[in-house]
Amino acid sequence: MINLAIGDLYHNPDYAWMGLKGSSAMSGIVGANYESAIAFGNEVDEEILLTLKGTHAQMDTVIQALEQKIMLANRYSEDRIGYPHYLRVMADQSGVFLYSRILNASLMPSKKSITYYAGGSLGMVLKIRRKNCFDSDEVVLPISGSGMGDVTTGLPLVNHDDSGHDHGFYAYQDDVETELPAPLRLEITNTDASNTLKDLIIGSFQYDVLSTKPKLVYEAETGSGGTTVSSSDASNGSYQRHTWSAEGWTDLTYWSMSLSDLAKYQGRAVRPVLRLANVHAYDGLMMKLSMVSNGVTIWMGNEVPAVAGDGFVEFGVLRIPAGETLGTNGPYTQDLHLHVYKEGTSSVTLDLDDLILMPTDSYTKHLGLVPLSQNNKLIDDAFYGVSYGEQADYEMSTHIALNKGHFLMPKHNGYFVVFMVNGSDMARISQSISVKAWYRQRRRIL
Amino acid sequence: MVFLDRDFARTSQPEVEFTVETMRWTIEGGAETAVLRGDGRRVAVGELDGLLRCPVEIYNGLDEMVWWGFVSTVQYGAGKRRVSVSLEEMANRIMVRYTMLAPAGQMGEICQTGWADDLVSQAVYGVKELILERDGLDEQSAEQVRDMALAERSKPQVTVKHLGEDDFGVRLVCAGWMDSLKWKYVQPTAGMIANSPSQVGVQWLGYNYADLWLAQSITPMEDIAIQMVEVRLRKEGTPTDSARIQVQTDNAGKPSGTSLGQVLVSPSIIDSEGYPWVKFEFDPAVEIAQGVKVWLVLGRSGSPSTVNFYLVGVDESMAFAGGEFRVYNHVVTNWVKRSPDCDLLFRVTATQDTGVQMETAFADGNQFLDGVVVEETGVESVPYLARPMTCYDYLNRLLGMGIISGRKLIAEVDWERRLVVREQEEEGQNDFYVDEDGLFYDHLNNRMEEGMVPLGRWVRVKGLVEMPANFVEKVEWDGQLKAQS
Repeated sequence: MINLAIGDLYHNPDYAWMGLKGSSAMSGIVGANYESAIAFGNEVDEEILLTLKGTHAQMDTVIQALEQKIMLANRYSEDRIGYPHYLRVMADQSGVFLYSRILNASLMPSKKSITYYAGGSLGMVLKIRRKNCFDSDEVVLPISGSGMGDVTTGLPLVNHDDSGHDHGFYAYQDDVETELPAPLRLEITNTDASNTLKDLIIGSFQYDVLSTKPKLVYEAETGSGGTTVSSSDASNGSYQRHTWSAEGWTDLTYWSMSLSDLAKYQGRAVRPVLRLANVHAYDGLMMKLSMVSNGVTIWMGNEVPAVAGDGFVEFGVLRIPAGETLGTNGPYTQDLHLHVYKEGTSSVTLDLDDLILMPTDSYTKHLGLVPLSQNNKLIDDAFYGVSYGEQADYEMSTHIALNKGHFLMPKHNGYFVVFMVNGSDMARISQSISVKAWYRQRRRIL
Repeated sequence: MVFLDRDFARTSQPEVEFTVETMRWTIEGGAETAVLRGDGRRVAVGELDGLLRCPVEIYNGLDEMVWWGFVSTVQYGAGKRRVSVSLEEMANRIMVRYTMLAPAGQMGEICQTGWADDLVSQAVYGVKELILERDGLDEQSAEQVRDMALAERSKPQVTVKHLGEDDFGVRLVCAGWMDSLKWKYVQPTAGMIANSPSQVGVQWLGYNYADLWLAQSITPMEDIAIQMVEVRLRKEGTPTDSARIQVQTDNAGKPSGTSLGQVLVSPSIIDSEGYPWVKFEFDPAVEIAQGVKVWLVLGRSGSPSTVNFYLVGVDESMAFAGGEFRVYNHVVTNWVKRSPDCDLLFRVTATQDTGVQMETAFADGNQFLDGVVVEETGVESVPYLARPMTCYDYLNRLLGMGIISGRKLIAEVDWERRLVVREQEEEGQNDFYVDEDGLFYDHLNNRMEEGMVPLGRWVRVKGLVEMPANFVEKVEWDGQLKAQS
């Protein structure tokens, strides 16, 4: 039997919902005819035909309750006061409720309503505009690292990826039941006593059974040129020191990307981030990346500043493999080059640690307003489309989220990479967080 | 998108969610305008006024910044009224340029008041200057006009427009950073050093050995290249030798005799009536470094004659404070002061590379940008304005002159808020492409990401190889990207 109700998720006990159909239907409602409408966009307009029967007082109580819910739903949509309201549906005996956010609602009388009302019954039309999908209640999502599997109590991550250290986590498709991309809630706790968490980038690479995750981190010491220096503060235990003096642009180093890795990206975009093992103090340094294939530059990125005192450099979007191909035979080899610009001919030394190709199947960048201290949390909730901090379980606005929310594609594994920046604009490899995740099943067809 | 505070620091974001209606870019500054729209039902009129002059950054879906500038107008839809609060007509530093009251049929003297400032408004929004122009005022009236204008305009200006249908949206009209260079005036004067008040006095030149040469010293305030010197000159009798001007170095407060350049003017083109301005054009121009004193030495190429000689207009009121006048008396073989003392009536016109002028104008007219990157263009022009002009207008005038090869100059404020001026690439060098679906590709045939624009690029249409490339001077995005050449 169909179970239909409207209400909000903050007062979620079943009795707080206003039942329209099914076992919890409000007294006085004897019928609710609901058919999903067809829509191609993100919103859908629907009608629920309601039939009331009873004393005038009973019918008036139903109408008052409905109008109150409509007022609350519309007030949140228009004024962001209160809580979002949802149409709650259970279409089978599974016991699983599905929710669709009501964007706007209104109540209309049916034909001859006065006549019917006088006789003790009433027909009404509840018009709603809602999001064109239904989401389930939140489900804990087990996540895994290289040494820990199916963690639900907080997976520890650090700010680099090498033997014994993870900067990312997996969410496996077997743990996610969804028909549309499922909205995630990520709870990031700063576990680091030495570093506040200021900026945070989270990017995911999502892949189905026919593909695997490509290499996302290129250690500087695996690139060309320079001198390798051992350091316990560097990813993979060492960094690469490059010294040069030529004025203008210098092709400083390059990494050869394997054919299989190039193929795995399938034309995806990445946002490369270069970590420096030691900050530099040179003014006017610029960097850019290029892709070279068979000795020919086939892609050249925009130059970005390498700001003195910053521990990292963020580059613009790079699509891999670069250039337009069909993709059936696999790409020809491509090398990723790092170019550095400086003025004057004085000698410059840069200590490069690693180049991280942040995946962008889902991607959020949180710019810190209030760097999080140890044990404070950052919540990124795609279902509500909000991102906020928590200190001692109280909510606070700590970050500006450029994009809100991560979604996990159905029948895809997800590998989520984090890149952390502390309050001094450093990206220390030891910086640590723990991550918990939840998801909501999302579907369009009931 | 992200809003910063007026000091460019991160701050909490407005609770209204904005979407981008339009974005525009131009080669005269890069990001030009953007219009953002949010649902305004929950916004009270005035609630978002705090965003005015706040930096705004617009990102694409991959978090790449694609447009940046500042909020210049907030528009509140309030039913059938639209209330706009705007910085565009605001001015918190005002001056009045005016012509003095004058008898009928006569031109009044051009004067200007001092600046009047609203320091509170300036502290909040930055300095926004305005020069009002009025005719036929006295000093007191001009100052009254100025003070009234300041009182009216030193806060963001509010207008109300009645609409045909309900509007509850809130719109932010944003301007690119180049627009902020409209906020201050510049008036370069390095290109002209002159003393041209009414003539008071005449000095004979080459009449005898006591007035063989005349000299006026000048000291440029910037590096200049003297292209032309004009003096008020007439001939007496029928001299057959030329009038001559040299630019000489200084030696202990007198002309050294070392000429940096000279020009001769035939007596045939010098009138014998009145004191018209006579031009002496230097080719090549004479380059003088900033702060170096030189002498304009006027003489004749022949011997003195009491019948055929020259007369030079001077100013015995001594209005010129930038130098001294001397006469070479060959009888005593020395430069001597004239009695009564005077200054030469002269106009020196100097040129300067337009790239250098842009740097100077930017330094005078900028308050929010973080620097300028411009090379010398090889194009020389006179860095002089008779009346002030906004820094934006003056820079665009210089940009419009292009470079010596004839190619255009492209100015973009980059996302580090530096004004970067570069020259247009040659067609065919690194042309971009657009396909039949309107998607743009860079010169290496990589598709441009959402919001990245081919501004200042030559663009070819894929599939139409015979069609010449178009140079993109303006780009507009309103859900779709449109490039205009």
